[in-house]
Amino acid sequence: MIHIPNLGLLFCIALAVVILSSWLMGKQGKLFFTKDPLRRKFSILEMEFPAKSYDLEYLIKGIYLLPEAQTTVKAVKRQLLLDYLLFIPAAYGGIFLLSMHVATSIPFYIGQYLFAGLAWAQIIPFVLDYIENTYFWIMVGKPGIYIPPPVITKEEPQTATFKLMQWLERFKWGIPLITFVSCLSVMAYSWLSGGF
Amino acid sequence: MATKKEIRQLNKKDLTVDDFINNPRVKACEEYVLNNPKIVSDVLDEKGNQYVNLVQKGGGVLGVALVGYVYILEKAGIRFLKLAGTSAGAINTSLMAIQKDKTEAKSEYVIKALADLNMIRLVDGHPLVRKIIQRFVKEPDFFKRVKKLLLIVGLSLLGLLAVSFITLGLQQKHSCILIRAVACGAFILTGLYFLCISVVGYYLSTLLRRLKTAGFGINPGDFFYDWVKAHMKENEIETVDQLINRAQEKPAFKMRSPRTEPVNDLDGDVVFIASELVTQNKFELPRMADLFRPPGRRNELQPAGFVRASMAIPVFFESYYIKEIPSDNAAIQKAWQDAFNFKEGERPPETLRFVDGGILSNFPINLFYNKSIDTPRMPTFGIDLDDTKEQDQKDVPENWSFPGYLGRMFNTIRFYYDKDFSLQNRIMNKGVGSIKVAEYNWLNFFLTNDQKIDLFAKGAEAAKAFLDGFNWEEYKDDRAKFTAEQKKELL
Repeated sequence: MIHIPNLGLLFCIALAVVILSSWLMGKQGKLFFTKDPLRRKFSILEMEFPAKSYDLEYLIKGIYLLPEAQTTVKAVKRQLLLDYLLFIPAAYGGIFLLSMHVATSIPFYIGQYLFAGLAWAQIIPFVLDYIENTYFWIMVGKPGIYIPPPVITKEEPQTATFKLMQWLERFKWGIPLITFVSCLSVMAYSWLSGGF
Repeated sequence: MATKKEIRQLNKKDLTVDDFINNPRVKACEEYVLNNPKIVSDVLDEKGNQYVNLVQKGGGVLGVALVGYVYILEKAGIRFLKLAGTSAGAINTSLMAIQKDKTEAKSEYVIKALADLNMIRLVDGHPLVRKIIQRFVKEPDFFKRVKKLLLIVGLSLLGLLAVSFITLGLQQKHSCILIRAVACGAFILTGLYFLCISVVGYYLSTLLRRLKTAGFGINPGDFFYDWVKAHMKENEIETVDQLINRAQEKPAFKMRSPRTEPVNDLDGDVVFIASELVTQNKFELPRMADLFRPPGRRNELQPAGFVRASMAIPVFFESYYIKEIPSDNAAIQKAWQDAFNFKEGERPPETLRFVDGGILSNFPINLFYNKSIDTPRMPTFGIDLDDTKEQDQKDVPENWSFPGYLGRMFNTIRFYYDKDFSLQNRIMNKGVGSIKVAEYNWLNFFLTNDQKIDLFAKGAEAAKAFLDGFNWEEYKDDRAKFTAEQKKELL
C-alpha cells in the first residue's frame, strides 16, 4: 500500500487521457471494414471476442478482400498504437490510483490489503493488453492469413491460440472491471455513510 | 420396442447405415414391398427398374424422414428421373442427384451422409446462441424459465439493495465494526451484481448487433455449405455444368408392353427452389444459372451454393448471396427479360439475396407437371411432411396468441402457392405420400440417434402405406379424364 501525493490530480489526468484516446480510437474505428459475406463494419471488440476458432482469421481475410483494405489496416494499427501509448497506461494507471486511494481510506484491514492487491493486480491486464495488441498488430498485417480447410467429419476445432486468447480476455477485462466497480462501490458506501 | 438401456446405448454411439436400415420397422416395410411388387410406371430400364419423377418437401430436420421414404421406394424397384426439392427436400435431392448411374439406388449414400453428419454443427452460429436455440427447441416452457430467471435476478438485486441500505442505516445507530463490514461488503456485491448485469446486457446487445451485420441470420450456414460441397466433390461435381450434366444422365429406357411411345425425349433434371428477396422472385436452380452469369461463365458459380440458397431458413441461417452479376451484359439482360419480364435495357441487380425456397414454394409439385400429356408415361411422386398438430386444429381462433396469429397468417401466405396448384390439379395429389411427423420440431438440430432412426422409420412406413394405396392404372385413367376435362373447359 502506498500513499500517492496529488492522487486526485493524477486521476483526473488519467481520466482525461482515457476520454481523449477513446475519442481518437473511436474515429479510427469508423474506418474498420471487412467482407463477411458483404462489406460491413466491425469493431476491435470483435477481434477481441471471436465466437469460434478462426473467426479472427476470417475477419482479417475479409479485410483484404475489400479494395479499401489498406485504409482499414492502417486504421486498425493506428488504433492499436493509440491504445499502446495512451489508453492502456492511462486506463490501468487510473484504476491503480483509484484502488490505492480506496486501500488507504477503507477502515478495514482486510479491505486495505484487498484493494492494495487489486491495485497492483492491474499490472496483469496491463501486460496482457500489450501482448494482445502485439498479436493483433502481427495478425492484421497478414494479407495471406492461413485458415485450414474445414473438416466436416470431425468436431469443430478449438485451437490452442483461441483458447489462450479467451483466457487472456477474461483476465484482461475481468481484473480491471472488478477492481473499478468495487472501488466505486466502496466510495459510494463511504460517501453515503459520511466517511470521506 | 427398444428398452431404455438400448436407447441410451444407441444415443451414445456413432450411427451407421445399418442402424437405419436394420431397424425392425424399416425391415418390415422393406420385406412388405419386396413381397408385394407394384407397378408404378411404364418407363423401365434394362434391369427392370421403374422410373418416376420425385419432388421432396422442405421441413428442416424432418427431412430425415424423406430419406426413409426414398429408401423404401428404391427397395420397391423405383428409380428417379427428375428430382426437385426445397430446403431439406433440396438437400436430399442434391445428394441423390450428384450420384452416378440412375439405375442404382441412391438412398444408401444419403443414409451414410446422414449417419456421419453431426447435425449440431449445422447450427454454426455463436456458441451461446446455439445453446439458447437448443433450450428453446427442446424445452417447451423455455420462455417461462427465462421469465423465472429474470424474476430471480430482479429479486436478488432488490435484496442486495435492501441489505446495503438497511445496514447503512443501522451503522448510524450501532457503530459496530461487523455492521460496517457487512454494509461495505453489501455495497461491493451490489456493484459487482450491476457489473454482471451490464456485461450480460452488453454481450446480448453485441449479439443483436452481430445479427444485424450478418444480414439477420443467426447461423452463417458455412458448415452446411462445406458439407454439401464436400459431397459434391466426392461425386466429381465441382461446377454447375457438371451438376446439370449428371442430373441429365439417363440409362437406356423402354416402355412397358403394350405401350410403344418413344422414350428418347425423357431427360433427367434436378431443381432446387430458392426465394430471392431483391427481385422478389422464386428461383429454380441450377436451371436459372444463366441469370447470374453469361453463357460460358456459369461455372464461376459454386453448385453447392444453390442448395445452400434453398435451405437458408430466414433468421435461422444467414441469407445466401450471389454477387457480381454482370448486369450490363446483354445476354444477362435478355435472360432476365425472358425469365421475369424485365423491360429491354433494364438492368438486373448486381447482388441477389436468397432465402429458403420454402417461403414461396415448400412443395414444388407443379415443376414436373406437363399439361399437354394425356396419358403419362411415368408419374410424379411427391413426399409431403405433415407436421400439423391436432391441437392446432382445436385451438379456438378467438383465443390465439399474438405469435400464434402471426404464425398462422405467415403459413397461410407461404403455403397457398403450392396449395392453389394442388387444388387446381388434384390429380397430382395421387402421387403424394404424407409422413406424419407432428411430434418433432422442424428446427430441432439436436435430434438424438433414436429420434433420427424413428423419423427415418416413419418415412419408411409412410412409403409403404403410399405404395399400398397407389394404383398406376387408375392414376393414368384419372389423369386422362382430368386432361380431357381441362381441354373441354378451355374450348
